[in-house]
Amino acid sequence: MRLAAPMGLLINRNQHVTFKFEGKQYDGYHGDNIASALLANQQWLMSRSFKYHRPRAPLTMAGHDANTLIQLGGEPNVLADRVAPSQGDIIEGQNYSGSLENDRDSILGYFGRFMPVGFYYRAFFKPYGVWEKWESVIRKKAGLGKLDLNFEPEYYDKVYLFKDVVVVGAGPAGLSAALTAADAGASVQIVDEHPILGGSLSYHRFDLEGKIADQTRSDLVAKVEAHPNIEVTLNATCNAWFADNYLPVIQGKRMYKVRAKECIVASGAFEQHVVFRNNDLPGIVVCSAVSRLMKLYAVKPGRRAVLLTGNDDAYFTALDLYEQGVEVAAIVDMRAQGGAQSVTAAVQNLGIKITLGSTVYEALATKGNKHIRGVDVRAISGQGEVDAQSNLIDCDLLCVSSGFMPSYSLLCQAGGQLSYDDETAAFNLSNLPAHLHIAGSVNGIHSLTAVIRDGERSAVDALQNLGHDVASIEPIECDKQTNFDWPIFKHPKGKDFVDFDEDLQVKDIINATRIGYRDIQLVKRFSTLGMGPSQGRHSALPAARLVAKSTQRTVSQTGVTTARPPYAPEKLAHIAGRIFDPVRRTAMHDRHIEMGAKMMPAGNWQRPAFYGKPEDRDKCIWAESEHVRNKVGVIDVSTLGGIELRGPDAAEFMNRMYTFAFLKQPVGKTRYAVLTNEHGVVVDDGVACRIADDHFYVTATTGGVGGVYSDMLKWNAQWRLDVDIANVTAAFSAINLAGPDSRKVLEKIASDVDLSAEGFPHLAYREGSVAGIPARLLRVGFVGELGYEIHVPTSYGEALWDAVIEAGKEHDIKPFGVETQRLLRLEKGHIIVSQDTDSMSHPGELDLGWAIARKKPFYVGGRSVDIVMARKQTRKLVGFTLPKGSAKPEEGHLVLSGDDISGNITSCEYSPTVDSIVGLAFVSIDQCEVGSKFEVRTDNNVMVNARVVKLPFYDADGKRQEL
Amino acid sequence: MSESRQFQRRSFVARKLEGSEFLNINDGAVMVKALANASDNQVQQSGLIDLSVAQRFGFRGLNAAQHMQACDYPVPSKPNLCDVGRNGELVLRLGETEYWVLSNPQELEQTPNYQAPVLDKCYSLFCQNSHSWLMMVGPSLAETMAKICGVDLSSSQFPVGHVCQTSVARINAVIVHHEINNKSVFSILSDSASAVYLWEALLDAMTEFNGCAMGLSAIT
Repeated sequence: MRLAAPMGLLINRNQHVTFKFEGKQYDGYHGDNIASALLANQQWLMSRSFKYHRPRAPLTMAGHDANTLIQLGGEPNVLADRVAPSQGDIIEGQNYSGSLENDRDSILGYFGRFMPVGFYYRAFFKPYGVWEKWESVIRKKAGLGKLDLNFEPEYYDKVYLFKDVVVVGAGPAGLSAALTAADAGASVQIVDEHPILGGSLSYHRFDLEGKIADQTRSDLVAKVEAHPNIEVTLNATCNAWFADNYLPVIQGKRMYKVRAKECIVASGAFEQHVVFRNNDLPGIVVCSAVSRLMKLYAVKPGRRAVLLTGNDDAYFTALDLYEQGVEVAAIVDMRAQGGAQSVTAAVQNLGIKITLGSTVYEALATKGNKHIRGVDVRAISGQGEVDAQSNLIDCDLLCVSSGFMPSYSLLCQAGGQLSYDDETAAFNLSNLPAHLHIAGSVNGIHSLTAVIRDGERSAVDALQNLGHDVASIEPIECDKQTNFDWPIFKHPKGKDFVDFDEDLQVKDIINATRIGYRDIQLVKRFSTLGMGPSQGRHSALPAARLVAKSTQRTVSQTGVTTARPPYAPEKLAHIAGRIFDPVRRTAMHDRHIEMGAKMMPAGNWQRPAFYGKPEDRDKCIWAESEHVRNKVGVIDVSTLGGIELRGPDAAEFMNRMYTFAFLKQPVGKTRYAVLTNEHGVVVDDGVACRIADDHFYVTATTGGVGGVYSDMLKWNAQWRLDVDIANVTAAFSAINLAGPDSRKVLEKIASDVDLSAEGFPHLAYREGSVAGIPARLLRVGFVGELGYEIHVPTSYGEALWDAVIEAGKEHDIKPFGVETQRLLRLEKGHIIVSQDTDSMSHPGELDLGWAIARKKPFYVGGRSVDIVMARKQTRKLVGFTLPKGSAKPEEGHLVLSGDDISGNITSCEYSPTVDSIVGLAFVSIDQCEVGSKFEVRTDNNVMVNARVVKLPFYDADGKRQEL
Repeated sequence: MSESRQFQRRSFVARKLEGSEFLNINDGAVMVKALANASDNQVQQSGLIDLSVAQRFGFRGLNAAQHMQACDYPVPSKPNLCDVGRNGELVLRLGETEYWVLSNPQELEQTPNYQAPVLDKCYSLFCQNSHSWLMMVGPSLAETMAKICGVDLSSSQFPVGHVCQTSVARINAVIVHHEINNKSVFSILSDSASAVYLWEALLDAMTEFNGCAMGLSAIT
């Protein structure tokens, strides 16, 4: 049932949208939301309540209540009065058993006395074991909506916005604030959760003639839309306030992370319902909801209406209803003195009956509580009390308004203080942080002229903070009374709902206080008050009044529950956004993929673990290791950290940083470099190449180079040595060419370097060209074979790889991966810092005493190393073997000494070269003698006896790497 | 040429553009024209250009400014500013004592004058290989960057001639605001090992602005 234009500001009557609700097809217009389209088709029932499964229909038509939660396709808990239907949508109600119309679980309403407030905290735990019986039943009944387990993730993202002034709320206060700020030159962003600008101007009647709202809106919106300094974000919710005006604004699938120098909250106020029996029936709405229905969607909300009010707004609503052909049976005014003379006369002139000092005591329902069919009106005899005499009025629409609650959530998140004024029966806000301002009805200003002026005032305050020279505006006064002080009428039969989300009745709140939960925060936790999707927008005020009365305190003393982000439900996808997970690739990455590498993460890097199918891991690793031992292999070691040290004090710096002696390290030589921290713990290692007297190139571990580099900068900030320190990890690509045939391969492509054993001995450093590429060559033997590390500028990395592979073809060169390298170095007994060490490992435990220059006066951690190594040692890293075929310990498995844990496995693999299981483990000092045995608890509690052996496991005299 | 791997020096990103037309710059491949359906000449459209193999170098140290002047390069007055050299090179000042020189993007074949430092306390840097160089063109630079960077890069806050060192899509980056043919562009210099990651993140952010990979022809 649609009204004629100009009703229907949002809809396009030429564009139809068809969708299904509960299996039945409905026709709406473009611009409708799901609820308005359903109501236009007389479909009020949209959902069932959480606890008693009572029929529910829209209360606010603004997306502010949970009555309209529906299932939209695979998405549960969609607000029908917020989301527009799309052609062909399949929509269902929620929380019912059977059908929405005939919900078998509605019988729960009759068992309310067995489900008192907090009943689930006090039941189901005795006798012991009963919870297991109840759990499945409760879990089946809990939760709203159905999850689509075949859901495919969708694209959500985040965007930063930077503005001088952000205005939250596009009502008259917000628009006037935005224009004032923009006129002064500020960049302004308006954020509003509704689809059009204007706020209450787009639906509310501010005068008897019903003209001023349209005129004002038209004027303000035209100016805003034409203003070059104003940007508008509609259908967007400012979901929180964080320090320094950091505002997450959600629009569609995007979260804007707004940085505002000044923030003006003109978020308006929530119209409040009245508490009486059956106040949740479909057909009972707040006055602004019917205004929205008519003005925005051209929906005739009923045939015969009653208005229950505590202010003058309902009188204007009555005029709107009357003009749109709705019979207004009565205005029931809770105020004994009634409304202003002008509005009273206006409605009386239309023949509308006004009943003063009265309330609706009970709403009467059609069968199954599907809709309101009448009201029981009684005179108010005291606070919350009524006379016995009832006056029944037939109606199919009841519009209620007991007053307004400021939309305080963002402001209280910012630390704003809510205070209750007993005279006006309203809350007001104070103590806002600097650079946060409020305007309009959220500030307790309600008359239109004052609201607009208050918007200007807030903008002036913001502009002054921004340094604009503008004249101050005095605080705006407004004496318009909107709130009735006690719109709560407890009924002996209950169903007088305070909180619709959680089906909380008056007695629930009172009982919570009687049980001992006197603090509103405890009442909230015990009763779940305000914890539903509408976050207490309509329950906070009546609950505060009830708790105050029940605990003999004032509402101010009682306060309201803490407002926390988010203001409205938001999806995890909004919080996650488009996830950025940086990945680093070496220059040879694509070649590894082409050669069938199984890639593995190493920090942010991607590295080849081995080449072959994942299910063939062990075979691949063994084959690769045998190939390196017998022929030649190549591994990409580009991820190795690289640090460049240049300057007259480079050697002195190296000498202070690392444990070894570097002052006299010859140019053209490499030296093992161990780094300890101030506690004497080994934190990294690498190879230091002396390129010139004043130039070192030192490698670091893949994961450790960032820390090493920042440590170097930190230390030199103190030492002030004349040295330049550069992290060149990404600037160099590197390979390790290893195996008995590696020299033959390199000789084919390195023409200007003497590669003979004498010309380029073990641990030497050379520079030259490899395949025409400028290269740094290190003769090091991490894997224990004749080998060369070749470092080239990164842009040449792939060309180097290609050249080496090509040159190695006749020697059957094969790539090997990180897992294979770990096995090869394990066979040589070389440690990997952070795998074979922990946060307590000092050089003595690791048998690295040979890498410490004890005669030099200082190195980082030197004093601590001396102290910890002088103490009685408690553990040691040792090599061990197990017979082939034993249960293989994994890294982290425990080493035992009797019943005590004495250490752990750090590395362990089967070695085809040694033909046994080999590994490294921390053991207690009395277990470390070569030849002794220790127990290891492996998977499934299988115990194995490992034997301590002398390291290395392979090529003890190191001849192979010195070929 | 249509195979970036024909060159000794290879950009991480160029491999993703195989099939395009490449130009040999500094012994590396720079895409000239994008894949068949892209419209390189529409500078009005958002585009991303890979200039990673183009020549660049840098100097750092107490005498770096003196060396820059000796090489006839302008020295920006303070950190986080950039200037344009005699031959169109971009000269960035990244710190009190650190300067980078980038080739003139419109004349990449003309390599800038590099002279090894001869003074003490002046060290050449490794930015040619440690960093990738991507250039974002089009009318929506700040709007695109707002999706991946927490710094306000609108022209009022980040005018032409300014340099911003910040985090982009969670990796460190140097962003330079300069002009090509009197239109604003952002040069983005970032960890070369993360070049493919950043390239994809930037293109993803540019999607809503019809952004795509472009070649040199978009700016020359």
